[in-house]
Amino acid sequence: MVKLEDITKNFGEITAVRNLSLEIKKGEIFVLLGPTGAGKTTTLRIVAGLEKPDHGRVYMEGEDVTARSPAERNLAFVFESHNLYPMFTVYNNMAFDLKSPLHRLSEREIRKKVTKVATDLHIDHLLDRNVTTLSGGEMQRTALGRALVRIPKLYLLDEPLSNLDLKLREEMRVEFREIHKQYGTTSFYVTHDYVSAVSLADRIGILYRGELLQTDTPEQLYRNPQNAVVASMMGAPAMNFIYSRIVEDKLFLDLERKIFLELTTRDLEKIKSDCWNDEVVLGVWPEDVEVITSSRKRSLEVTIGGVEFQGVEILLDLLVGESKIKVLTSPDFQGAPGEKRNIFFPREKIYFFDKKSGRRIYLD
Amino acid sequence: MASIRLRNLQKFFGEVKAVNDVSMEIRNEELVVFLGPSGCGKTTTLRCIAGLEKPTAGEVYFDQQNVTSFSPPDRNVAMVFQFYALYPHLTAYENIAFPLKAQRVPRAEIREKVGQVTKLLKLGDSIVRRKANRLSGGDMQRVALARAIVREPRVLLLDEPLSALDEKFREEMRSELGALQKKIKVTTVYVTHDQREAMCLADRIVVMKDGEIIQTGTPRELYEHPRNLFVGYFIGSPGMNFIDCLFDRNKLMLGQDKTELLISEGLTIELREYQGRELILGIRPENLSFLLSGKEKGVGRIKVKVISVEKIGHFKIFYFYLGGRLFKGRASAKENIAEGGECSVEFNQNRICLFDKSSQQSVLY
Amino acid sequence: MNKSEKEKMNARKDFRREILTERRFKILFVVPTLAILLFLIGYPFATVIWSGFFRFSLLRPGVPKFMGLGNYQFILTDPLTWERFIFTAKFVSLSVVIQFFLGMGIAYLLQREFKGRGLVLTLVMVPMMMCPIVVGLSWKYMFNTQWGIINYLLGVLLNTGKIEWLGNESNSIYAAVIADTWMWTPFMTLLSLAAFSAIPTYLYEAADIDRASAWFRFRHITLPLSAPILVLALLFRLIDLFKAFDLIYTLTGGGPGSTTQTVSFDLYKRAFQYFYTGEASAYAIILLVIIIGLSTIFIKYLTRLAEEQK
Repeated sequence: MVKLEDITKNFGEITAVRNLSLEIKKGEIFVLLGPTGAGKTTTLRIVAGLEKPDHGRVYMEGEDVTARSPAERNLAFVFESHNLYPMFTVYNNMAFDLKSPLHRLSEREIRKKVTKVATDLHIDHLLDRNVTTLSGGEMQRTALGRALVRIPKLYLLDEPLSNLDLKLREEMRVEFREIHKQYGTTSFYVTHDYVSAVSLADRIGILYRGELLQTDTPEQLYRNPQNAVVASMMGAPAMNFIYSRIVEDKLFLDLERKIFLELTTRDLEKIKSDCWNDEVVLGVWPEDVEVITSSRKRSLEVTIGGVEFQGVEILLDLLVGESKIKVLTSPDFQGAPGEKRNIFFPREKIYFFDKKSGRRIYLD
Repeated sequence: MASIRLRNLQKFFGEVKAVNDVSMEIRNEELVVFLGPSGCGKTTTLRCIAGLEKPTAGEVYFDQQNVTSFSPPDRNVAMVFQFYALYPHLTAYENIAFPLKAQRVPRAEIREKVGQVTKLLKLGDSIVRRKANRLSGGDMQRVALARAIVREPRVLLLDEPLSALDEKFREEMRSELGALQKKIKVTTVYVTHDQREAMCLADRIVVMKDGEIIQTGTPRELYEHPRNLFVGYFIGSPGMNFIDCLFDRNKLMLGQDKTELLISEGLTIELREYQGRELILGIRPENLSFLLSGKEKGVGRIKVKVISVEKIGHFKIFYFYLGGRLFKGRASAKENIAEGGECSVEFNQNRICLFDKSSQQSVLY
Repeated sequence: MNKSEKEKMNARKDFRREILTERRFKILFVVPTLAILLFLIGYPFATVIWSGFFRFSLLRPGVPKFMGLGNYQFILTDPLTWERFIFTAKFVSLSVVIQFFLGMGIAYLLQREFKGRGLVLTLVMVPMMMCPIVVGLSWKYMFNTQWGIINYLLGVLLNTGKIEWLGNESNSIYAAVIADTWMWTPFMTLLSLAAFSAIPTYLYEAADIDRASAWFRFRHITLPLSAPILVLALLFRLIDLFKAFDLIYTLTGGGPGSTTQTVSFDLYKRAFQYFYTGEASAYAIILLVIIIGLSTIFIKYLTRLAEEQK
């Protein structure tokens, strides 16, 4: 339904977005995930028509809309700072666009639409309140409502939840998904927050330094990252990366070459052939590291750096040589900083990345 | 170093009761976190401890000394503000040196002390010489911290110091802050709305709402044994599930349609006096186990229909309706949970929380 | 409309967009105003420059005689001219210094909220809002040696004799400075207040926590952070004082004799009393160059200050 073809955008000397191509299917929530400065907002603005790309084209429902202004593209925005009209009531904010002569709606029809959306968002009791008297969550809901009354082709959202309290953010995420399904809309959502992205998205595009690294479902990105950068952005807590080197057919995890991982000859050969200078980054999810009671074949001895109770699980800081890794374990774990433990990396849960390019090395 | 005592502290802004009868003690060298939603009174309480607000009633004691009438300069507290409040026209070095300069500490001593602190907070030379308004968020935060601890204050106060930082950075700073506090051993009061920060840093957490203290305890105490519905709601992510219920002999009747949930003998005995009383059941998503359909016989098991599933890395959150309410359950990523499919859910009997409906207080402990 | 009609309309729109790009569109809007401005300002300005090279008078008939830089030479070598410049410099520096510190001081006192602040602020602003002619004439009467209220009050409070203000060569400058200060200090106060209130409260709270004394706070926080606006205010006042005419004209008439003639007053005389139009034009250009020079220095300094604060 929305297609970006080979988009490049420069601001002076800086290339904000480079050769970006993506497609947003009708009815889906597509999330663009990336750190601050990756080019997400620029991409959003190009889709919106607020920026013109230096190269490439934008298509909506098959039509080339690259030269069209935002108004002509029939979109709705929800921004990070909600941009509500401060002198209006909630009702007037939501009804504002509908009152434009372009829509030709009667007062009664407008009221009906606004009331329905307001009820869905649980702000119908606030319709006559001035927006400056509302709480952060209520304002964000009003901003969302203002976008929803219009039934545009596409919703564009730029980190609309980032200014909210943690609890409120959780609630709004669930509500947003429900509303989205109910209204059958298409949304393009931009964020740097991994949890928001993963809980809302049908598909996620990982944007890093202006380039789209991988586009897939959240689950696939988690299980099958093609690149170390992609892996570093999925997961909270983030993936552990240990810099290792292959020396004399052993994979060493530390500089002093005391700790090594036992691998089959076949695996070692594959890794060696795919990496540069025998340097490889070993990646493993904190939740995949097994903490075992006593040492056994292929286990590693580590020292506890920190123990953090997180309610549903405990987050451990463990020292492997000079590297620090985080491990999630059950809340019943007993242990204190300084003590030694044994850990085990299951073979199928280890990811290997070429150190130089970050590219994933696949084992058979 | 000092212990802090708040006695019946009250602060009104006109009609609004920002802080309403807050009393508590903070031990020497302890890190206490005031946790609550915006507007709960945590920042106002902190400012009363700092001396930036004069309480409408009540007293503040440092080490048995009544400091309520003391202005901030006389209390010798250090504070890290939410937006760092660095002097923008001064360099990082000058910012950190400011409190020492204001006290007319000799220049050589200033240089030594600032040097110590910048080393502790890993502030490199290039950063120290830069103007404060040219620093990145993370560096500004470190400089603000440095400025606070360079004076070796009795008490360190932090007002949502990490809220302006990027998510990734916040995690890093969180552990650094905790380690720092343990190292310099200063009594610390930390204010935040982020319960993860509280859980990570606090020796004890004080949960506040509408100007009042709801519960005080260690992170584990608050997580596993919330004495008030609000604590169960606010702590833990995703939050606790709640539903109205009625206790009837050996089962709980949940929600509007009075879905029956069998409960264990132990629980039945504890709830003896609450026969027929209106209660609210609370249970955390991880204490709702996902079982395949067909296993709904037995204590604590119910048959439900899965509405939707969120896959978040190594775990899944599945949503289902029970007694008219939307519930969240947590399962490992391995479980095969189909959207729209039927399954059974088991309530962990040891982890069921029950609150009185009107008082919102826990009835079990 | 159906699909083909819509397509045609879109095509037409796209074509229009290529010809009339957004940039050209913006320029089109600005051009008429720019043209009018150019005419209203540029034309007279060009005329003045041109006149400066000729010797003529608007009153007397005859062909203007080309003099090259003769007018400029005459003005710059005339000792009277320098007398006026020196007086102007004295007047300006005295006034500026007093107004700067007085204005800033009043602003500092009026920073915090107190009961009746609104009323006090309004009263403080009143002098600035009055008509300069009225102010000049009022002070003229107040400074009258025989029955002026100034001398009366001074006699009562300090038991001084009747001081000659406006008729005395040394005292007339002080009268002018006092009158101007009364009228324009509010300007400094206003801008200082604006500068002070732009400083966020939390910086003062941090300073409080850091145990800074009131003076330390002022010296290290208030002053540096309000410097850009204060310097701007200084610049405005300097330029204004340099051009001082209305106050001088009504208060002293340039007297006694010609001792309180500022450069503007001098220019007025040459242009509209003696009607040495050519000479006056050259004079005006000289003054303009000086003002531009001063302003440039200030603005350079200001920009540097502002850059540091960014």
